[in-house]
Amino acid sequence: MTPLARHLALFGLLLPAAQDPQQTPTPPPAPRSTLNHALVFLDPAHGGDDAGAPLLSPAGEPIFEKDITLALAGRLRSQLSALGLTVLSTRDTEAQAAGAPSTGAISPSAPTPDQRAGQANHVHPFACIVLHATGTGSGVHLITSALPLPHSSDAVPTLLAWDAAQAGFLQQSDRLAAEISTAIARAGLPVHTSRATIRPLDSLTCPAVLLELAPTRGLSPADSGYQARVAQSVATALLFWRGHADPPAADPAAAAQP
Amino acid sequence: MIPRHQHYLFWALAAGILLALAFLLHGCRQAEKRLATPQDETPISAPISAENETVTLDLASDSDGAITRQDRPLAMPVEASTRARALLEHLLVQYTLPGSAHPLPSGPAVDDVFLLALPLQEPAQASIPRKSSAISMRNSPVYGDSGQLAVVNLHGAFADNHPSGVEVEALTLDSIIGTLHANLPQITQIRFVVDGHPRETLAGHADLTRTYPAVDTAATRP
Repeated sequence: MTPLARHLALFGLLLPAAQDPQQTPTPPPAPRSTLNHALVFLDPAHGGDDAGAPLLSPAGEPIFEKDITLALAGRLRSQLSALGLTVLSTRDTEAQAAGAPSTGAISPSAPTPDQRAGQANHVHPFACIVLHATGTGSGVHLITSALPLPHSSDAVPTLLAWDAAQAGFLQQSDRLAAEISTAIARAGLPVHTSRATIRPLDSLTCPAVLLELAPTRGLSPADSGYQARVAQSVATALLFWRGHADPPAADPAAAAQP
Repeated sequence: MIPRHQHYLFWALAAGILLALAFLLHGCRQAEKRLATPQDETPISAPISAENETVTLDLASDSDGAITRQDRPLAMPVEASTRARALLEHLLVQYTLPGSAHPLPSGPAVDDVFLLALPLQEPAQASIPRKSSAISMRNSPVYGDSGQLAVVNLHGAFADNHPSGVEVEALTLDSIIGTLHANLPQITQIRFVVDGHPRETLAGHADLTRTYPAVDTAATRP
């Protein structure tokens, strides 16, 4: 390269920096997606010593919430895997067939809510689904965090409190709940959405929805057909949501603070 | 040969035994019916001279997850914490009545309600910088440093026998929060303890370690 060409190249590099930033404002860089768009996080609630709510099976036998959530997670995992998505679950279903009653062989030390949130936050899934079951109410309950929205609607501070980490993802979680609600309603099942303060929902840094199965039209949450319909609806909604999940933008003001 | 009067005595005794058996069976059936029938355990009105006033109850419904407001005439105590306790007792008794949309087991539910003036800390110590309203939500007054913090002390049996589930537990808490907010506007925050001690959850799901803002829960639910 000749000296003249070298000077021209250097001038070309320095020119943008010398320009008045007020005349040509530099647009802020687009937020880089930190969500893994191939990974879904499932949390079948309870487990081990924590049996959860007592319910009745379709045959009228007692069954615990932890067994129903595990069975539902197994069905959902199968549906999502068939759609090409990777699934990470807080409780391993490999050793236990979906729908099978608990044999008591599960470790008594099931993960705590904080451990469950830690697992999810470590892998950045594009959707976190927390699974519960109950004997009261009716239909499918879709619940998002009751945390208050941050002051700036589109920004989250760089430093988050553990118990309020979900605050920055509230809008995403509401949209995800709406997608799942629509899919479940299309399947002809009653569904309603609400907000609640539940652990580990408030500590998740991903679009997160808590799904609670309740009895409906004579169907028990332990009913395999009922679970299959719900799992298929949720899987369809997640496949659509995969292309729409974006992380919230970082708050530059908060980042500048010490 | 048995004398005639002994015949009469025998048959009289046999008839008496049969009558006694029939009476016992009837009594057993009556007792079973009485135990199986849901009891209306509405407390009898206390003999106080206070006049009825209109209070607002935020009543929950399990079927649609909604909370609806209803006005009821009720004689209320004057002192604020006693008033809050009477209000919550009256609210939770509604859920034990037959046909309730949010059925809860009967029995004592609220031991006490304590009202504490905010802020709890010294002003110099309370001035913690906050980046967002969500960050410092837990265990400290963050929804405003004015007003009162209501500490609701629930009865242990109430929490132990409460139906287990995310929605049903959240509805109970929202019903209590909304009712306190509607009738005692000076309350800005609410905490829950059980038998005087902190407890992780109400019945395995709803978080009781948080400080809840006193808000209109009927408006925030569908």
